[in-house]
Amino acid sequence: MNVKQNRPTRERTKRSVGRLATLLLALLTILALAACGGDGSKDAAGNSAQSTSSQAVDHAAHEQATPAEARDAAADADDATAHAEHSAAEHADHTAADDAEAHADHAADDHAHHEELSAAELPGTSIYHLASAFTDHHGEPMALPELRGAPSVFVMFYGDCTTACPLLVRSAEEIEAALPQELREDTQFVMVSFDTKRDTPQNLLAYAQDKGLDKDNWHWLVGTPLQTRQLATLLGVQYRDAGNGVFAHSNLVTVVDPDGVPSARLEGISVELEPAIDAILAAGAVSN
Amino acid sequence: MTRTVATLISLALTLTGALLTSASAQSEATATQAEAQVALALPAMADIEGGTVELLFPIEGEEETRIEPFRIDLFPVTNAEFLQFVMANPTWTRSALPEVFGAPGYLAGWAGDYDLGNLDPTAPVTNVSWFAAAAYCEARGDRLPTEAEWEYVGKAGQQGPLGSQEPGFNERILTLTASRPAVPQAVGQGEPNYFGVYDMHGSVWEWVFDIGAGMATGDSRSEGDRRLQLVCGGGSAGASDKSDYAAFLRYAFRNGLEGNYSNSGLGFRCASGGGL
Repeated sequence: MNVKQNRPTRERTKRSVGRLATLLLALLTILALAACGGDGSKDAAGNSAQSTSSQAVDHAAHEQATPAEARDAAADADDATAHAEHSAAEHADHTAADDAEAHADHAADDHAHHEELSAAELPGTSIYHLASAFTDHHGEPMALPELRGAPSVFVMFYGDCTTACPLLVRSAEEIEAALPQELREDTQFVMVSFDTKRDTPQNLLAYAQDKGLDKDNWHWLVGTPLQTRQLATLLGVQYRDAGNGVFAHSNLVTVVDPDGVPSARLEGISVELEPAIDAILAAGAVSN
Repeated sequence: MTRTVATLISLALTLTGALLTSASAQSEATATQAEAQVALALPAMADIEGGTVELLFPIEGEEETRIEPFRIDLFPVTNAEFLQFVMANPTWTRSALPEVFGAPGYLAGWAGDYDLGNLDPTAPVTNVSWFAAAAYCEARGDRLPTEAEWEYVGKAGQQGPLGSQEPGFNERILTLTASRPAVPQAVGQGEPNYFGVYDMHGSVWEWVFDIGAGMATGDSRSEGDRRLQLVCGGGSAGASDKSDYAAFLRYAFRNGLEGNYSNSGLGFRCASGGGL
């Protein structure tokens, strides 16, 4: 399961559609140039496809004013070409006319959406200012700003933790189960490991699968020691590596709103979950 | 020898500061200038052999913390050095930094984003948040020292790595801690400790990599017991050295810090290597 292709936030989907539209537009431009007597050889078309990918990224980076969005676009640079290939496969049964019509519709939506994002800088208290990419349980880079657009639940834990951490994860599961269907699918659950040495993506994947939580909206992340400490500091999580695979840590479940601003904080184990659920419901009500 | 090196470094810092003060008077700071000035400010670091340290509040079952060999700055990072950093990294200027990384008060005292104003370029930089301190060290290819590393160096006396074995050590450190100047003085004014490191006590409080880690709870279902150890009467019962009053002050101070907090007496130094 490729999380990068299934990121469920509406914003991401719209951005992907926007980039696809840009790719198609550039492709049409190339074909038009070729038809007008330009260098329309196959090689030129192939080279142009590559530069189209770059243009799409540059276009996104320039239009999206926030550093987070720009970084998001940069993070997609590597898969821009792959995106074009996927697009070709996914739309093989579409006619050029269908694509052109879809392009027109999506381009209009995308333009409006980009303007909206440009106007909406991240709030100063957003944890999404921490924009460097972690690695998820599929080995894919994932930067926190990618989560922008939907409420998220953050838990810091480590895989070898046998007492408190499973209960923290369970709390997150119970929060998810208590949500209405639409919000349940939209809300993101971000489990970040303290153990930057042992919790490899492979181990995190095994952990997620063992708990039945290898799902699109569950992200099991590991970062560098600095990234991990930065996130913990933003969330107010205290932890210490006691050596021999044991971490002393505080127990927190944090809800952030769609802009990454903390909106609920559950401290301790087996505490009432209503504040977290209410915060997600409130975020859902606003976004709807 | 160490003192000679330190003196040379102090001179270099002074020169750097003078150059930077001159540069800050100019309204436009260029990246070229910043790069040239960075080249003047090579960090002077001490090599610290590995060992063990008994933290003030060990985790249950944890008697000593192993310290891997690492390096640590001889001096706290100065105003001049931090100015170089923000000139090369404008996202860390006062006007650009989001609140989550630096609360109001960040770089208070500076006359402008690239202007130290009346601050002594050779004094420790203060009014810096943890995020900014960590970013500075990262930009240098280093990191903040861990709390255990800082305490390991801070516990050193004049003759050996464990100052508490020297007569009057705890009292001297407590006096230094309690008599910090209101306005930080130029770095390197006092005597270096056994490791050749200056200003561990008596200058500014210092950020560490893992703020609050010393008070982290064990992997248990309870929350807050460790804080009770510190802030409640009788809480010192769990401390490893009840006579080290200055350590109580340091742990208490660090435990109360938020990552975006800053004040006029809080600075930092960088480290590298070690177990991180």
